[in-house]
Amino acid sequence: MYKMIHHMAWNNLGRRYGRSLLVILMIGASLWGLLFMEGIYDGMTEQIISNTIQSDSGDLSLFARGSRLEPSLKLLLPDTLLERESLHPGPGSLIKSRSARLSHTGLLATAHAARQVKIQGVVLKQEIHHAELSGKLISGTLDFGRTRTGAILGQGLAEHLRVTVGHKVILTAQDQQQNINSLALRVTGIVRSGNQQIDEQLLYLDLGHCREFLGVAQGFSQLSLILHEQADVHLIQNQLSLELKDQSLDILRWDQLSPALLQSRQVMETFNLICNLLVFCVAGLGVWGVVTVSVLERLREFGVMLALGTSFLQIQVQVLLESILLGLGGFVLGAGPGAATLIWLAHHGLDLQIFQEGLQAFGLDTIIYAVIRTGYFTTAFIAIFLACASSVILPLHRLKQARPITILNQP
Amino acid sequence: MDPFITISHLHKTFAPNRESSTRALIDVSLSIPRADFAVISGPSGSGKTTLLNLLGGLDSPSSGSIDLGGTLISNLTEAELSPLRRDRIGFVFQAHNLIPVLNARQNICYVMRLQGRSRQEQENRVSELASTLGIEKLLDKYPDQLSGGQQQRVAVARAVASRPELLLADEPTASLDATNAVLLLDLLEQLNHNEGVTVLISSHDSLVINRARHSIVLRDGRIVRDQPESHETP
Repeated sequence: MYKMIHHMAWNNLGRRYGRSLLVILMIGASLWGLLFMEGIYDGMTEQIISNTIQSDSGDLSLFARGSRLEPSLKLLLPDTLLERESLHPGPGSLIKSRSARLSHTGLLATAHAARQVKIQGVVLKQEIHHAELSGKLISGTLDFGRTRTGAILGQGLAEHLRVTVGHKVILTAQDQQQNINSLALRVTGIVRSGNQQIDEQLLYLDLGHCREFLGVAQGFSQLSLILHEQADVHLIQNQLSLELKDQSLDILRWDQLSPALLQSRQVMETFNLICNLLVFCVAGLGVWGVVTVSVLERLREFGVMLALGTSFLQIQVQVLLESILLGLGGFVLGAGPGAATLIWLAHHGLDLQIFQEGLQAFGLDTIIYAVIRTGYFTTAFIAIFLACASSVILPLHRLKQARPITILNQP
Repeated sequence: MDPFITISHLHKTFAPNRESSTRALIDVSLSIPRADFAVISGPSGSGKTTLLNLLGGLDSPSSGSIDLGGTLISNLTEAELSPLRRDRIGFVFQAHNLIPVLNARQNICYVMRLQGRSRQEQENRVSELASTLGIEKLLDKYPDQLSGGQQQRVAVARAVASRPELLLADEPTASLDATNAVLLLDLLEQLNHNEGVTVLISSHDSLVINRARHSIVLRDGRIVRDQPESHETP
């Protein structure tokens, strides 16, 4: 019997194919729009998070205990820490890359302007790999020069100081012994980290040169780790906490270091949920309209079916099936092109050059790469399914109220 | 002979609590034996269709009882009436009322499918009825591809396909020309004779009334004549 119900449901949709097609198109277009928005907005959020992880927090960072809240050149991690096997990236390790940074604040000045900076003493080769600097270089080279007096600046900082590659700048800072030291540097490169806040203060120096300048014999402020899989971050954090419990360290995840980023991800998840709710409403209203009209104009037909002994349950199943077939059609029509669009945007990106200033203000690149998650499709599928299922309640309720003879007597 | 249908003191009033209430049936009592070929006649508005609808379990009486082969159908709920209509009663409606998205074969099989009959049984029954009703070539056509007479024959095939005990036909010849009306009545008589189906027809068509073995005449909701084993004269 249910084969016949399926057959009838399918044929009923075909009876008014123009109307059915319109609803399918409406659901499909809404879903495509939803997937596009979800993919791009998540891409933006993930880009901000990824940029911050690469340039600053890492997936996981090690600090000398208390130095995060009260930075001091006297609270440094020992160089011997770098020799630990568990902190080495490489084959078989869950760690993809690491960078040891000696961080301190200072003042960078030209003859016309001065700006507070966050000095990052780094091993450039490590940092290039770790922060993927090659892709972030705007001008100049990733090189501190033969004399190691080169400096790589964040784009925001260079703009504030109005310097370009080749310009000289003076760095002033208080060393470990509380002496004020100055150092002449030549700008060798300008990078855009993708995080405006970081860019406005970022100054890369050679680690050895930085140590000399700050009067630090050995040690570093932060060991930033990037993992192969971000999902392993809790595991590694726990393992390192156990292994290094006698080292007086703070081992912090990116979301502990930048809780605002986690919040932005949560905001995006809420936004996606609202978008799904909108698709639910669009699909629900569309299917509800069609099913209501379809049921009301076929009341007599249902009356005949009831008179012949069809149970109300079987009619319910048929109407529900018609509604779900509409929803499924819309889902396939929206999910197919939606997935194709996201795959294309994940590879080629969406070029938003015309919004460059605005995007950079939010720490975004002008090319946004879409994110694709299975959850987009499952949530949308559930939303459409629920919309279709709930859209038949009212029409069926109306049908249920009437006796077969009342329905049969409909004009 | 034990009656197959026993109707006792049946009343039906439409919109009873309103000023415009209509008493469609007033104290109707009637007995119809099994395998009878009965015709309910009377002028328009006399209550023929109402009586047929009550017998078919499509509507419920205001008071009184209807016993169908030992089942008091006037007391059944809609959920209980549904399988009764499916298994024991066949309907031929005035307006054919075929299901438009099913072809003639599927329409004929519809009730058998509801009953869960095997595909082979359905096929055999369709072939048998199609041959009897002369609709072999129409089986793959949809209702909108059939003429009124053809649709009515398919409707009759659907009504009797599941071998119901009672066949109710409401003005079955109303939309047919004389030739098709005679053919349809021949068919109903044949089914009544060959398969022992109790046939109850409501009509004011003299062609139909003349074929009645049991003539029931209604006027203003009351039975004015109940004449078993008789033939009306025009």
